[in-house]
Amino acid sequence: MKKILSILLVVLFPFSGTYAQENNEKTTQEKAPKQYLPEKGDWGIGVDVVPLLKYIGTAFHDASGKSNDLNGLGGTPFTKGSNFEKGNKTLMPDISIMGKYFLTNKFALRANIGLKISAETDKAYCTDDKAAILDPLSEDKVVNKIRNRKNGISIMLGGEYRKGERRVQGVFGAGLLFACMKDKVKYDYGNSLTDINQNPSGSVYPSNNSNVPKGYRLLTEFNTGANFYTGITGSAGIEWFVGPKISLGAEVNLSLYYLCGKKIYIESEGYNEALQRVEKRTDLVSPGNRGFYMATESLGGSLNFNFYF
Amino acid sequence: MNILNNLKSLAIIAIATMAFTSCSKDQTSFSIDDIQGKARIKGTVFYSEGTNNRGDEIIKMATNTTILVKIDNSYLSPIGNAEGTTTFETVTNGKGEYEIEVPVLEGGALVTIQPQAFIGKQKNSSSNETEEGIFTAEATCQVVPNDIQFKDIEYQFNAR
Repeated sequence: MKKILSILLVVLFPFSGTYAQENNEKTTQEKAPKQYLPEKGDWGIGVDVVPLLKYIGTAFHDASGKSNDLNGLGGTPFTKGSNFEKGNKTLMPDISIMGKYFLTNKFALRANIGLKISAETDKAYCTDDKAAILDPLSEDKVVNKIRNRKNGISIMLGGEYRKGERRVQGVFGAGLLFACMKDKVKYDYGNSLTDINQNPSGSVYPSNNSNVPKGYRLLTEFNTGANFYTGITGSAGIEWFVGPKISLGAEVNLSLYYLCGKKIYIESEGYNEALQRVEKRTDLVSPGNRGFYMATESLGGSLNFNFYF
Repeated sequence: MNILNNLKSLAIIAIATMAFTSCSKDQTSFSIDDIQGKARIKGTVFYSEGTNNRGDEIIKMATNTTILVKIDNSYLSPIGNAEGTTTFETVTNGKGEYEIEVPVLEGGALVTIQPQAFIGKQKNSSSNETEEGIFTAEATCQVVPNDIQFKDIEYQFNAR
């Protein structure tokens, strides 16, 4: 009987200890007030929750017929959608990382950085002109390649000041804006352009509004949509701390920035009838666009979710 | 050693696989050299210096003269939509003879032969005076693959 009792004590003793410890923890937790607001030395990251809300909204029905993939979860860079050339909005980074570092309980440094580095090669099979000419029954193919390099970065560096001691705070900020992007499209053809094959299969020709002579095919497009942006921004918003160091925020920016586009030009090749030979040429398309923007935006997200740690 | 041998075998298999799987070529070029049909054109090039005192015409052979043979690219392009012309070149020998081989597609081609123009003199038979002028010449002929054409060309005198 003693043996059984001692075994039970040995087995149950640790559990009784745990229970006591839990009780102690609960007591201490109840005593310590929850720290909702970020403090000096805290880091913070945030995401725009609008894409998430859209995703949830279309999760069970898809009225538009579009895929309801969760795209664009992150911060909104200041350059999103502001590139006016050809409506090419895919060049700039669509998403940015929002980060904060608290120098004091009230003042934080903040950055909003978007980055895009892409190198895509689209390949397509095309009739091998030489093989088809020498043997009409030939089904040989060559490969055409379009190499598209798009790089872009957008940066906002600044600070923010918080007003309020409770779970709803006013947040005011200011910062510098900088962005640049580069675009290059290179065409590699499987069929050479020669004196007697002046329109090889699979060639891509420039649009009618370029200065390239008729019959010349594209080799490289430089700087279509390559721009530099620089400016300043100011922001005002609120943050509601829904949990300890977790907040839901809404913010509006007033941004002012200047756009300076790079010179756009095209390299092409074709048969020059005057010179009686195939030549490569470079044509200027645009000296570079200029722009000035002053607009209210939602840099980082019109409705954002922030985490501090 | 076994591991090394295995790696070597794998590398050989990988290279062989890549060699067989690459089913398309990087770039092909259809140029004039790829045209298999050929035609030969030969002849002599000569000019007249007028007549002598007896009234006989003085014929001279155009020696060491450059001959340009031109074919419209549309004849050389199987698609038939090429612009411009392709020029071939030869030089007459000491007897004023020339011979050239040109590429021709099945449909044939119209060939233009242009001996190089030069400045010379010709005796006018009516005025009995020697005039200076330019000798020019041009001839055309239709050729098909494996054809041999004789084309003698006489310069025309254009008085100054």
